[in-house]
Amino acid sequence: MKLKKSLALALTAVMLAGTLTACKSSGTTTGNESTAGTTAVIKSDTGESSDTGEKKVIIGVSADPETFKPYSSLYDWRYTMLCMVYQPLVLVSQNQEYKVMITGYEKVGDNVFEVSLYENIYDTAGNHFTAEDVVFSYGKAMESGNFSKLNSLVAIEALDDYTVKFTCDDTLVSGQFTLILSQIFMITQAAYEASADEMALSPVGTTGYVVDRYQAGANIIFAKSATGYWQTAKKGEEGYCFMFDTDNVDIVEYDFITESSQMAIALQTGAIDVASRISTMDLTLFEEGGEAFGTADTYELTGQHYTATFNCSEDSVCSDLNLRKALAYSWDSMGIVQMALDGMGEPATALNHNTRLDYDSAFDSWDYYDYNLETAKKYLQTYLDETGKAAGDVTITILVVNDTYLQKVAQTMQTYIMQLGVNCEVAAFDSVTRKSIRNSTEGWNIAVAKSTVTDQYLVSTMDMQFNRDKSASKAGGWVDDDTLQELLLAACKEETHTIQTVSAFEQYMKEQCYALGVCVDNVYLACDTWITELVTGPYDMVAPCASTYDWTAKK
Amino acid sequence: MKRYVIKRILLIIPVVIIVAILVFTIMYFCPGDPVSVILGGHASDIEIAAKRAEMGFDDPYILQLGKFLFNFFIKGDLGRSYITDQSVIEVIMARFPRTLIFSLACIILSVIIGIPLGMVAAVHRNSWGDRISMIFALIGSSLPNFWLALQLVIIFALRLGWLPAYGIGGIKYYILPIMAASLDGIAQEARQTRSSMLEVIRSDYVTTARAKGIPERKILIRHVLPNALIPVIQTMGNIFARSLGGALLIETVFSIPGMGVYLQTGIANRDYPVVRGSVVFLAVVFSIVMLLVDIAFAYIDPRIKAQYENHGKKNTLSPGRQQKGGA
Repeated sequence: MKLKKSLALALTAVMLAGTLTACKSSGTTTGNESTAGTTAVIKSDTGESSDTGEKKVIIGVSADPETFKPYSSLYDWRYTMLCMVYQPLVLVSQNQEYKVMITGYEKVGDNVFEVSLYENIYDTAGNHFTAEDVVFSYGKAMESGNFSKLNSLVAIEALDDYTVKFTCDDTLVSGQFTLILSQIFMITQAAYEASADEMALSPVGTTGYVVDRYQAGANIIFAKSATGYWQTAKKGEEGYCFMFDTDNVDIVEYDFITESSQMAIALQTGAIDVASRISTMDLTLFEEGGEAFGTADTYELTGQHYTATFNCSEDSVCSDLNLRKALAYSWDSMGIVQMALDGMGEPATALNHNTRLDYDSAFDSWDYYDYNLETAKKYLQTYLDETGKAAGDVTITILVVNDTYLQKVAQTMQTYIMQLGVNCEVAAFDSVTRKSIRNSTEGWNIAVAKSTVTDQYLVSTMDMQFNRDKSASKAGGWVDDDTLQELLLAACKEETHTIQTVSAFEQYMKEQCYALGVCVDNVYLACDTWITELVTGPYDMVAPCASTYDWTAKK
Repeated sequence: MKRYVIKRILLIIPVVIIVAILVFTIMYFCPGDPVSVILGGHASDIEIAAKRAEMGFDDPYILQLGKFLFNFFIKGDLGRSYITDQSVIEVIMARFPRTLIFSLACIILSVIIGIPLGMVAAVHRNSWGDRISMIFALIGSSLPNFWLALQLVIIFALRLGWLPAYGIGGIKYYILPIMAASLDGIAQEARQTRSSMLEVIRSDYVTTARAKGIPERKILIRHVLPNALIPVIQTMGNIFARSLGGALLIETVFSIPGMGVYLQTGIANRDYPVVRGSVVFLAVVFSIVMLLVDIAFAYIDPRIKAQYENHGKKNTLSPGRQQKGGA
């Protein structure tokens, strides 16, 4: 028995030592030494080889698009991946609007626009793309019902072979027409009707690339089309768009890596050249002192904006302004960044990030409930005096999706809130369940969510979240406020959309404390050192066609 | 025996129907629906409500269940994914072989390694052989397989560079996942074999066989092992079933597009056709596996075979004995 115990202890110790050794992320090796003996290169068995001299890059992504249908549900990363074969009329990225397939557009009436196409557009099957194909593409998109941004589009008509008229209704908000042009992929009717599966596995688009091979759940390989790319404009010339440049790379392979720690391992072993996302823990591997220092370059991008929205329905204690203010003053955004995001981010206060095209930089200097426990306690006391409750009678429920960082942010907020003496719990669910709870008046008091920092207008998000005419849950957190609605509509409408109206809305939201920003996290990409410049496109996803490579240095 | 097998095959039908009704009902009562996923995070609640009505989610439970059962069992249509619009059965047929490879490999390894390990433990009871085997079995049962998977990746892919860290392709892509997935099965088989053999080894007929001078090896192979195999085969069936549905962690770590990941994604997205189709498919496969296990019992143990053959017959005595009043 004694021997058994000793053996069990010894084996446990060995296992623990093995774990600690295998998991070691920093050490005394220098960058050069760490590449010499600790890693080895395995080429993934893709059937394609850069030994033929073709320029090939392999990108690790976390999920498979599963279908190439242009009008299926579009997640952020799917959009960028599908941009390898399809093009929208306009692309919005990095605060810039690129006229991809159009020479221009103009407003010709109330919410009526005319768009002019390039005349030499051909898809990879050789079909000529005309205005009728634009009408067809939008018709298919509207038919799918998957694009709520098209709800404002009333009619679309081909005026001639290369001019299209878009007619929208009064619900069109400022900046939304650009979204209408940028979110829908263009296809030719001929190619679509020739496809046996609605282009699910055999997409035909207007870029210079085609799907060469697709293994569901494993990888996709895009290769240059034999028909070439219709757009001949080079960098700096009119009509050029970085996302669709065909000069930099011949073959792009996306490998689907579902486990986040495997992404870093795949980069270290050389199985991939680019990790489209790496966690903050794995980031340290590639930084100075890390075991893989010098083997990869890392890029930091502004990630997602975390917003806290209060449930202002009668079923929630947060319907009281004093309590909302007490809670808002009780948490420290900088502290949340340090504790929940390991310092990899920055505090936020405004409703959305400053990359929004209509963000007023004056918002940065406003007092958005900076952390002040004394002030928080004063507001709480006012609330308790008015309601006759004790602090211990109040329970605040923070609702989040069961995402690692969201949960950490919520737990940190919970710690801060409990300093007030109230009870606080975190309710984490999968996204679908969370949404159904969020749309009800019960079960939550504060909803913390994160949204991708895109280049969209601030008003389009405000309209989606706070317009009570568009939301069954009134405005965001069950707010039924005529003043809010009035200010929102003034800010959103094209004719009255100005910095002043946007600012007025933001000011009112701040005063009423219906919602406010919490923090912004950073996202990290990493790539092999032979990639001289890694460029990102919409949704901060890797744009392989735009990146530059030193092919002579590739292993 | 044939009648028994046919009867068991026919019994699969009500099992599958009940499983289908159960999975439909569970998904029906789960909060949330796929419409919010289909329309994306930017859809308003009014748009979601309109889409729900269009897709029939506002119909009463009985009506939805009826349509589902009709499409499923009469038309044989497992449906199409709400998210990708791909045929569920086509995707299952593409993914299931990969999961099957793991499950079969787990079974084979558990037989090849687990049973001999258990035999060694039983034969050398309370000696070094027994202790080492059982410590190995204990470690195998205790180690979380996702942890083991990551350790194997770090050692064999990252440090040694012998094997790929993820993905699918040739045989080398399956080595690490199978190693990670099969350890638990090997441990279970070893422990079950040891336990069953110890029970049988103490039997009178084994003592008699030894007394008659039969070599120990022959006793073990011809007398002890066949009698100890029933619970061992039962365990094999359980291992197979668990590896079918529980391959999710291994598939996630190694980025293998199998049934586990497909089902898990379907559940997260409330993709009802995917969940229903996958669960019912797995239920059918599991039922067939259990049938094979029971048939295997019959071939190993003649008593069980006799039971199957006589099942349903009221009087199993021979006519002669009946006439004598059963005396």
